[in-house]
Amino acid sequence: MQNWLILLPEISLLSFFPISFLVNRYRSSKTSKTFFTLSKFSLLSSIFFTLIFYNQSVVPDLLLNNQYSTMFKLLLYATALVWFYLSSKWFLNKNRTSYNYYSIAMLMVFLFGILISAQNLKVLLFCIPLLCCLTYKLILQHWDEERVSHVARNYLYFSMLFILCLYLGVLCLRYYAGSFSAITIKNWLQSQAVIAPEVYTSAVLITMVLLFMMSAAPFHLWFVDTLSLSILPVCGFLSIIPPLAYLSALIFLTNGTFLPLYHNLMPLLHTVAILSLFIGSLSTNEENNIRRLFAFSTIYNLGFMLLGVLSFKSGAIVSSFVYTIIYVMAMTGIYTVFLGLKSKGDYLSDISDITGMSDTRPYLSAAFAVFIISIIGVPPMLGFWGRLSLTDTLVLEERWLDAVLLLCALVIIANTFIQIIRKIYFKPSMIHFDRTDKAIYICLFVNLLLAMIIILNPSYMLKYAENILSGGL
Amino acid sequence: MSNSFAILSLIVALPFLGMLFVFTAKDSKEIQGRNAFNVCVFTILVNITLIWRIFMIMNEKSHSLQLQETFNWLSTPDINIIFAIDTFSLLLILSIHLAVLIGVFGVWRNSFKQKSLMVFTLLFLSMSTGFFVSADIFSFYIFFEAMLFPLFMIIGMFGEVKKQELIYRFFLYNFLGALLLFSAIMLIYHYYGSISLTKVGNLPLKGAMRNFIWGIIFLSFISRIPIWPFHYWISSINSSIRNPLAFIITSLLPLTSIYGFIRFLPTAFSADIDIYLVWMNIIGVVTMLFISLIGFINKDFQYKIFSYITVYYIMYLLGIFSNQKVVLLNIGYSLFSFIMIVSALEVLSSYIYHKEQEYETVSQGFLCRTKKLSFVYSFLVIAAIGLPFSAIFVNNFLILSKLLGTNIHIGMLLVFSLFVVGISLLQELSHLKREDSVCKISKTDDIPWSMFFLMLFVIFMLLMSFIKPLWFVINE
Repeated sequence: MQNWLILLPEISLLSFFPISFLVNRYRSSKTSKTFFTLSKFSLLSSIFFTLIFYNQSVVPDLLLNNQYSTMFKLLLYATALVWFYLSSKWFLNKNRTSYNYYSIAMLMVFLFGILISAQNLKVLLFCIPLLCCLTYKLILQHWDEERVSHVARNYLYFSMLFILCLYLGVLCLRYYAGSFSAITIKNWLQSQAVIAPEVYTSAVLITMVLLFMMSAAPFHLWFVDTLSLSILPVCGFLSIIPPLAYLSALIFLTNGTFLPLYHNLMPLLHTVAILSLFIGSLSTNEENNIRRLFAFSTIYNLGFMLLGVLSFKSGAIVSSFVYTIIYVMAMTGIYTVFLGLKSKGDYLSDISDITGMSDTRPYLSAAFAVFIISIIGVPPMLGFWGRLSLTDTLVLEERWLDAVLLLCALVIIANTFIQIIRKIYFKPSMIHFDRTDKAIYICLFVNLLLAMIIILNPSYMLKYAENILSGGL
Repeated sequence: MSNSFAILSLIVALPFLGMLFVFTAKDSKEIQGRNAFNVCVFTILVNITLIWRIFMIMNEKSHSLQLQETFNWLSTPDINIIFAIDTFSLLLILSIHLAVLIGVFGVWRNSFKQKSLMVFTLLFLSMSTGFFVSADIFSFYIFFEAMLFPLFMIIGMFGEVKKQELIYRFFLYNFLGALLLFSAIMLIYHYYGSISLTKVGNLPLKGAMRNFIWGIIFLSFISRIPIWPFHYWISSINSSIRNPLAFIITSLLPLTSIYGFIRFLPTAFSADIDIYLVWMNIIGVVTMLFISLIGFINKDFQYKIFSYITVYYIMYLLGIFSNQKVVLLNIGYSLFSFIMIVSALEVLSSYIYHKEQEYETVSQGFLCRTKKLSFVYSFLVIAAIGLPFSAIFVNNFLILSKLLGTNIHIGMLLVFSLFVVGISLLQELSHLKREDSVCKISKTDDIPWSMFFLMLFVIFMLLMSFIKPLWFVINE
C-alpha cells in the first residue's frame, strides 16, 4: 500500500485523462478553461505529492526520485502550469476546443516527469518514441491541419530515424554491458580498459537522439518550421517545457552513465554546442517572422546550455542549470507578450507587426525589451547572471576559444535584438492592437518581479541548486 | 570608514525606484508627462540632498575609498558587490545629478513621450550612480554596461538623430567595448578573485597576459572617448542630437571611461608601458587638434559644443596618463564645473535652436533682444573658455602646467587646441550678439524666469567652486 502511495504524483497527473475525457464527453457547458482547470488541479496535486515523496521510489532500478529529479520535476510542473494558464487565454480568444491540446500536453508532461527520474535505458526506449508521437500530434493541433501537416510529417520521418538510432544504441549497449541499468552500464564502462568502437557509437547515437529532441543544431530544422506554423500555445509549449526535461536527461546520461566515455562524447557535444550558438545567432539576423526568430534564439540558447554540459563537471552543470532557468523565464515572458499582441482577433507573427508597439502598448513593449535584453545578458537583467556563470566556468577550465566564440555569438544575436527594440521604440505605430487581457499583464508582472528578486539575491537560490545538482549526479 | 546605514545603496536605488514610480504614473494628452516630470525632478533633488549629506559624513581630505558597503551577491562565482566612494567619485556623482537636473529642465515643455524620457533618464542616473560608487571590479563592470541600454533608448527615441542606423551601430560598438572589459574582468577574477578597485592598479601581472589584459581594458575604455580611430560613432551621434537632455546624457559617456582609467591605470608605469603612453599622448593631441579645428570651421553650434567637450575630455585623459595624484583631484574639481557648464550651455543653445526653428529665422542677433538669456549665455561661454569664473580656471591651469612640464611640445599643442575651441565658442557668442534686422526674435522670446533662476543657480555654483571647490561641505 505504501508503495502505491509513492506513485501519487504520477497518479495525480494521470487522473487528468479520465476526468477530462468524461467532461469532454458528457458536460455540455464546457469551455476551453474547463480543461485548464482540470490540468491545474492535476499539476498542483502532483507538485504537492512530488514534494512529499521527493526521495521515495517504487522501482528505484527504473525510476529514482531524489533531490535532483524533484528539483527538475517541480520546475517542469510549475512552468507547465503557467504556460497552460496562458494557453487557456488563447483558446478562449479563439473560441476553440482545448481538449486535445491539454490532453497531449499533459501526457507529454507526465512522460517528461518519468524521463527525468529515469535510471534505466528501458525508460528511454519507452518514453522517447511516445514523446515523438505526441509531439507529432501536438504539431497537428491547428484549425487548418493542411497548413501544418507537411511539417508534422517531416518531423515524424526524422523522429522515426532517430528512434531507430535510439533502439540501435540501447540494444547494442545492452548486448555489451549485459544490462539496461544506467548504473550497471556505467560500472561496466569504468571496468573496461579499452572500449569497443560499437559501444561509444551507441553512446553517441543515444546522445544524438536527445539532442534531436532538444532541437539543437544541426537537428533543428523541424523545430523552426514547427514554431513558424503552429498555434501559439504549441509554440510556447515546445519552446519552454521540453528543454528542461531533455536537459535533465542529457545531464544524467552524459555526466552519469556515459561519464567514462567523456573523450568520445565531448567532440559531438562540442560541435553541436558551437553549431547551435552560431546557427541560432546568425539565423536570427535574417528572420522577419518573429516566431521563427525566437525559434532560432532557442537554438542559440541551447548552444549556451550545452557548452556548460559538455564540461562534465558539477560546477559547469550548475551554470547550465542557471542559464536554463533564466532561459525558461525569459521565453515564458516573451511568449506571454506574444499572447498579448493581437490585432482584429489574430495573433501577430511578423516583425513588421510590432513596429511602433511602444506607442500603444508601453507596458508590453517594456516587458518585451526587458526579456530580450535579458537573453543577451546585459546587466542588471537576469540574463547577465547566466552569461557570467557560464563564462566563469569556461575561463575556470581555460576553454578560451569557447569563451571567445560564446562572446562572438552574443554580439551577433545582440545585433538582431537591438534591431527589434529599434523597431518597437523608434518607429511610428503601424497597427491597431486589440485590448490585452489583464491576466497577461499580471503574468508579466509576476515574471519580472521574480526575476528582480532572483537578481538581487541569486546566491540564495543557487545554494540549494548547487547542492542538489552535485549530489544528484 | 565603514557605513552602517546603506546610504550609497540608497542613492543608487532611489532613481531606480523613482523610475518605477514614473513608469506607473498616470499620463494622457492633457497631462503631457507633467507627473513624470515632477517625480523625476523630485527624485533627483532628494538624491542631491543625500549626496550632500554624504559629503558631510565622509572625510573629504582622504584619498581612500570610504563608507564601504558590502553585499554577498553570488557564491559561485564568489562575488561580493562593494560600494564605496572618495571625494573624486562623489563630486562626479553630484555633477551628473546636477547636469541631468539642468537637462530635465531643458525639456520642460517637451510633450513627446515625456514619460518614457523620464523613465530612461532615471534609469541612466541610477546606473551611472552605481558605476561611480562601485568599489570592486564586478560592480564596476555591471554598471559600466548597464548604463548602455537607457542611453541607447534615450538617443534612439529622443535624440532626433536622422540616420537611425547609426544609433544601433553605436550601441553595438559600445556593447563590444563592454564585452572587452567583461573579458578582462573575468581574467582578473580567474587569477586574483573578485578584487577591490583600489587593488587593480597594483596587480602583479606579467608578460603576455599583462599586455593582453591591459590592452583590452584600454580598448574598452577608449571606445567611449571620441579619440582617433574610435571617434566616428560617438562624433556622428553626439553632433546630431537635438534634444538637450539626450545630448547631456550622451556627453557623460566619455566620463565613465575617464573614471575607468583613473581606477584601472597601473600605479607604477614600467618602461615598456611608457612607450605606449607617448603614442597615446600623440594620438590624443592630434585628435584634439583636428576636432577643435573642425569645430572652429563648422557653423553648427552643436558641433562646436561637441568639439569643446571632446577636447576637454582628452585633456583630462592626458592629465590622468601623467599619473600624478595631485592632478587627479584637480581633474575632479575641473570636471565638476565643466559638466555643469556644458549642460547649461546645451540647454540654452537648444532653446535658441528651437526658437530659430519655430520662427524659421536666423539666430544672429538673438541675444540682442533677450537680456536674461544674453547674460547667462555670455557668462557660461566666458566660464567655459577658462576665464576666472569657475573651478575650471585654477584647476585647468594646474593640469596644463603639469602636462607642459612633462612634454612641452604636446603641452603646447594642447594649449593651442584649447585656444581654438575657446575661439569657436566666442565666435558663436559674437554671432548671437551681432544685431541683424532679419532676426524675428523679440523680448517675449527670452528664457522663462524659472530657467533663468536655474541658470543663476548654476552661475552661483560655478562662482563658489572658483572660490573653494568643496564650499558646500559643512564638516560635522
